Amino acid sequence: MVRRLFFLVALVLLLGSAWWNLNVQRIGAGVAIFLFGMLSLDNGFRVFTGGTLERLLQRSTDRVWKSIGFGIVTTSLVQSSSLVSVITISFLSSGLMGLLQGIGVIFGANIGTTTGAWLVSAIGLKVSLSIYAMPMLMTGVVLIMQSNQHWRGLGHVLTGLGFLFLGIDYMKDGFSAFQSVLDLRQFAIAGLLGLLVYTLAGLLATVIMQSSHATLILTITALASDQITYENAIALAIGANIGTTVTAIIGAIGAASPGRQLAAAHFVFNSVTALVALLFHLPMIHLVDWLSSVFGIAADNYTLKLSLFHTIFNVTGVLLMLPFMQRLAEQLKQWFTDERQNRLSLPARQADRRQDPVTPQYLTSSVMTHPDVALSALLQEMRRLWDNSVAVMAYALFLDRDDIESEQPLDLLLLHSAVHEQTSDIDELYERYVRPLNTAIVTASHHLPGQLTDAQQETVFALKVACRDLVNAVKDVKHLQKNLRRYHNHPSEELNQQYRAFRLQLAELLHRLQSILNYPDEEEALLGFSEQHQWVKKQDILKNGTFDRLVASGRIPAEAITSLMNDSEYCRNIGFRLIHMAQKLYWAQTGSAVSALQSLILEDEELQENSDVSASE
Amino acid sequence: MSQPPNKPKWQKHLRKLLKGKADTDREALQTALTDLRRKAVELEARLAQAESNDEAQRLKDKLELIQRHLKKGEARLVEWDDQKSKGK
Repeated sequence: MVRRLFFLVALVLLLGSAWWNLNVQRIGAGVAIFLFGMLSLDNGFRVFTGGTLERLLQRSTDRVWKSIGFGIVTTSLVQSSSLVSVITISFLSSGLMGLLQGIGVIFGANIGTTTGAWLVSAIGLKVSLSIYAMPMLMTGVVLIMQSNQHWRGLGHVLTGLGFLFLGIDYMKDGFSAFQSVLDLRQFAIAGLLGLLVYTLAGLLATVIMQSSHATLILTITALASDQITYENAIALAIGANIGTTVTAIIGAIGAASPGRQLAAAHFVFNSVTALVALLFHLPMIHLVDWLSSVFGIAADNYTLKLSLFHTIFNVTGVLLMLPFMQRLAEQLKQWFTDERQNRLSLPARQADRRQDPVTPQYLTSSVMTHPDVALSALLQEMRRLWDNSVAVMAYALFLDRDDIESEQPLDLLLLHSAVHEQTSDIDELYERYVRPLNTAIVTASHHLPGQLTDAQQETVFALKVACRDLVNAVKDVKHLQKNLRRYHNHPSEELNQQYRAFRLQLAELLHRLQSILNYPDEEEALLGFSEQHQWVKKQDILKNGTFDRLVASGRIPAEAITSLMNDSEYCRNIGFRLIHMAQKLYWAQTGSAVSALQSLILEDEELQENSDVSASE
Repeated sequence: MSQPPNKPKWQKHLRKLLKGKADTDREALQTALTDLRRKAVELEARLAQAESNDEAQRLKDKLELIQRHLKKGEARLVEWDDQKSKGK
């Protein structure tokens, strides 16, 4: 309600001011055209680059200096720090990039935004930009009408640039003409009060226009028309830098933790930078004067001097914050903990009473912008599905997941872990912790953005099949658990032992797969998976003769024979399905979609020969 | 014996860029097979020093698995080369 009221009042004031004076209307129209140009440019670069920015960002995540460089170069090129921020947040959310690198990109983007001020003050104010704007607009509109996506993107970029130029020209002309009606310099405030008032004004203007770039260009054009003083213009630029973080903070409210971490980093950086600039504005102005004389900038060329000031205070901010980047990232991770990293734990002796819904945490709308980013988020969500399934399966085996992951001998742990009667229904746990994630993964895999490469399509298909296997493995464990409970206190010691062996077999397999998933050596992982495959085959009591021996000896009660046979089949199938899922997850995580090593995976029949040979030896 | 000088990094990158996907896959497979062969040699050495029958059996099984992976990989290389020559 308040928001709507504010919007109406603002609209009435805007129209009223336009009605009061035609030149105010011209300045307002200039700002509007400029902002529309930025939107068009932003939209155009998204379509035109077709993932190039994302690919570039992917390559610039290994070193901090590369991240900063990426931020500087791309923001200078696209003239939009918000576009760079959005892509960075999507990378952080999907796990393709760490927070430290994300902060690096934001630092770089802050330096990159300074190039806009240079371009306008050095070129934009000297020539009539509308001369260049018109051909750009004409060509741009023709290109937008094309069916080819790249041409359309280029069209948006050209119209965006055209509108930017036109907007600047309108603002420039508006301010020049407005001078004869009203001299805004009479509102200039000198000293500390002026610094604070105009910083606040810059902040407010940026929050309203949602663009620090627009505030800065408006300031430069007003300064060029001698409508504001140089000192007040400096304060406006500082305010714009703080204002842009307010926009980022509003955008991060309700976002996942990576988004909030990055918005907080942006706020800390810009606030510290602004504080330093406010405290040391006089020495900085002297530095600007000195550098201007060195670079041959005239003493009365305040627009260029403002650009220089803007650059100096942003570069100083980066230099000041660089040594604290690591600490800042660690602190932010503590403040805004990534709840997605908390793995599901189901204590074996208790019933699970949690009620809150289990929803996907990586597959958010912000990551569905580029195939690589979306695929990475899909993988992270699958890893979560795997973790939840491990917890549910451990619970079904009457074990804690910590038992599965501990280095203690599992046979000893099993001897001490009783089969509890008062536990949650595995079906309920499956419905709560496994099914919703699987549904989200499969749904997302059908809505991946952009064109997937053949390798990516293969990966997505393989992952879907692996998900099906995992879900079926959990369901099989559910069936197995009924008899684990039924026969754990049976008078037949052999039957008891056999069901304990089933529990041990699956617990052992989960333990080994969990550790193979963390192997850094891919060849070792390949061998590890093959060994597990072979091991599961050897454990089959029907094949290794244990079942026949038990039945022949008459030590298994007749009513349990069919159950034992069926449950051995369940164990075998669960084993194969788990190995299949773990393998797919491992190769997809290493980025080897159709890697050379994947082509070395032995098929069932290739392992058959091997295990039979070993068994006969 | 003197070692051949390392090529500059940019040359390696350029070569990688100019290569087709099939070439890159083939090269990766060859590297993987070399690594597996190295592992096999290491396992043979460990097998010779195995202290118990159980350990020896475990190493033998692993060695056999490596041989199967190698066999599969070598067959894949031949298959790729055949496809390439037919393609030409």
